[in-house]
Amino acid sequence: MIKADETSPSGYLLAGKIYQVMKNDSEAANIYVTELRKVSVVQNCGAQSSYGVRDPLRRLPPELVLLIFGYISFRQIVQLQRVCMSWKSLIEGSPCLWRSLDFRTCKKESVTPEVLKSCISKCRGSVSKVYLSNLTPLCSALCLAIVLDHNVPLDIVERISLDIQSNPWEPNIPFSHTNEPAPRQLTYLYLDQSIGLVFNNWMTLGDVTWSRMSQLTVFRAHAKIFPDIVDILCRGFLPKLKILDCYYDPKESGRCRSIYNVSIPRPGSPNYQTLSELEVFNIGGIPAESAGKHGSGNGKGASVYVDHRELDNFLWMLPNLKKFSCIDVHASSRGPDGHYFERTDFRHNPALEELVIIGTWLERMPILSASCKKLIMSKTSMTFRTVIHGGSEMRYDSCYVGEDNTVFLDEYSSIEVLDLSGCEMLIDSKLIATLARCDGSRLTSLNLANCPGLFFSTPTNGAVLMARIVQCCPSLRKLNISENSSVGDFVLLEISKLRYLEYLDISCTGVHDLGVLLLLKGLFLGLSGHMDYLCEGSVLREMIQNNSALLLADDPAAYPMVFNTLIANGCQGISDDMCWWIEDIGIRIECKLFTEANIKKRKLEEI
Amino acid sequence: MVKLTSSDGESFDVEKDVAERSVLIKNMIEDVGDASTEIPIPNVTANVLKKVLEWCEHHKGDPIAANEDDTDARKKSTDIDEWDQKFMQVDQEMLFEIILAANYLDIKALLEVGCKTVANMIKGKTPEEIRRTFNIQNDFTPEEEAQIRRENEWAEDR
Repeated sequence: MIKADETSPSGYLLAGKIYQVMKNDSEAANIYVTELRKVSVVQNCGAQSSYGVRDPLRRLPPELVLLIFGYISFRQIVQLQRVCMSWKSLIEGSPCLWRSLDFRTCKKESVTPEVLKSCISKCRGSVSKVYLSNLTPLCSALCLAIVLDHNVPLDIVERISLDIQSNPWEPNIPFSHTNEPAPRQLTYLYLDQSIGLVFNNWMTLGDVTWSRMSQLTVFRAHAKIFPDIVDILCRGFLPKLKILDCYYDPKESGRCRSIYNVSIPRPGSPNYQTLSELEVFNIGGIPAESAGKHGSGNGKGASVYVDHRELDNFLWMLPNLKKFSCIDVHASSRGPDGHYFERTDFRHNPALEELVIIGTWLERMPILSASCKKLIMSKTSMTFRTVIHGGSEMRYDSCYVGEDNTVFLDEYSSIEVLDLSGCEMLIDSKLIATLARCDGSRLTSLNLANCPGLFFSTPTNGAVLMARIVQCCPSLRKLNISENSSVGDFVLLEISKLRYLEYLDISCTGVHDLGVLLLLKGLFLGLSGHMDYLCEGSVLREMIQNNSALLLADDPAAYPMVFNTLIANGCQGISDDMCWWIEDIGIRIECKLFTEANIKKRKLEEI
Repeated sequence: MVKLTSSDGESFDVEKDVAERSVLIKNMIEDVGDASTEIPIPNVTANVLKKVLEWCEHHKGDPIAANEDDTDARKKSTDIDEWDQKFMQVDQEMLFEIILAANYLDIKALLEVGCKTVANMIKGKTPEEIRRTFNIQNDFTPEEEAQIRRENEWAEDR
């Protein structure tokens, strides 16, 4: 006989469990069946007394209330303190509610360093995330300093606040003297784990430990903070750096124009050894005089540009860079040679595994180190140098010939993923030349979506090119040739020779039912029974009739293909019946009605 | 079949896999080793238990979510699926009872739905509206309230 606390069943449950472990089943059952009932009476009384009370805090244990509060935004949680005393003390006394400080939706200029400090102190432990936006530059600097301090073992908080009172920093606040609306300030900064960014030389933290910073994202910042980023890079062990949508204000001359301007020797040689991921997005632009002609990356017309030599220098210093993304960067120079993004030689980054160049102008195909597995070059144009310089038209062939006429042969041999989608100036011969440099047994994913220059070889709508592609890359597993109107049924006939193909996207192409039949011919033995799908008197129909024996007979061992996904959105020649049939044989088919939005959505997902 | 008895003595015959949505009951059945034994649910009254079992019945096929410890990764969304929304259209009294029962019986998914429902009652409301919703007495003096308001002005709506 055990007597446990009768206000809670847990004592009895535990006792039952113990008996269970002791293999005394009858006693355990007794506990569960009879003893446990004693609890209920008391519990019921408790429940009765609170009947009618609707305050969640009085009806539910605090841990459940906190669970509920977990679904409410940080800003409203703060507001909830005004409800009543008990709510206030629960919220104030619960560090878990202050762990993720999201100030992004707060009123402009309402978040002060004091507010931030008091919020951080309520967390007691360590704040895991802080989101700031909409701050004045001064305020963000101070707030960031506080956030930073909070995570470093040094006691700098006091020192900084002293600085605030005694320092003549105020006259130096940038933009404070201009009446015009301030240019874009640092409006959003994502702080991951424990990072901070100190910008402008009026706000320098000397002895900060940067070693815990794991990722730095700078979004919409003025180029003048770049030297500080370089500072951080020099001191720390930063593995990831993203610089997005940054700009340069020509009026602010004298300061560094770009992050890459690091050629100046610094005390203590730069320590960029740890940087493994670099992403630059929409920084730089085109010098003002040509911006009107060619459109500028950031659309603001500011005279912004990234000097390719600086970028070059910067990349030189990153021996361990694994991934480099360069999106919408219009590198340019007013120098005599007037190049665009000139850095196409990545052999000095031996660790590079993934190169992403999107929406950028390139003069020649990049030269890669042997470790590179992924090359994504969506929407990237090889320059028509004629547009800018008149005279010397660039020949595509010259892409593969070095300055000293050396032909680079093998530097693409390690590529596994090649994405050339949206490259407007890509033409058949150039693609073949590129593929020829790849190791066909390694290349498993090829994306040629929306390349208007491809697949025009006559008379069979691109079949010649596809035959070459199949020849060059026999082990493709994933192929995307969507949004190429010139892709026709014969192309699919060639694709059916890819034995390892698992995924094929033929959205928005000129493919018909017949093409799909040709593609799947090995899977389907009764081909002639499906001839009804074909247009009367079409060339293809004739061809099948004449050659059906041949089509069905060749290399039966190679089939069925490993094929399992076919995306045929917007192939208007494909009938519903065909879709059902394809699904019946066990291939996933995505055949939604094609809309612009669908395509855009899919693209976003891919990025 | 499992026999459950509510705190007020009413018995429910429930399919084993329905009852086992509750981790507590599942453990108890495992401990007793004999599913035919009557299981008392001393903390839950018949009308609440009935409601909870209705939920378990509807959700018996759901995959049991893996235990995630990191609350940060937990979805902050308060979206509730349609059936659950209808299910939760009860008076506040019953809502709290369901939450308590779900907590006691350890039915994670139901507890989540309950908490989301309460969170949705709070979301976007001013403190005054919240007091009205939950019949809470404002026990601050006007001075105190003004001060708290001043301190947290930055969090107010634009």
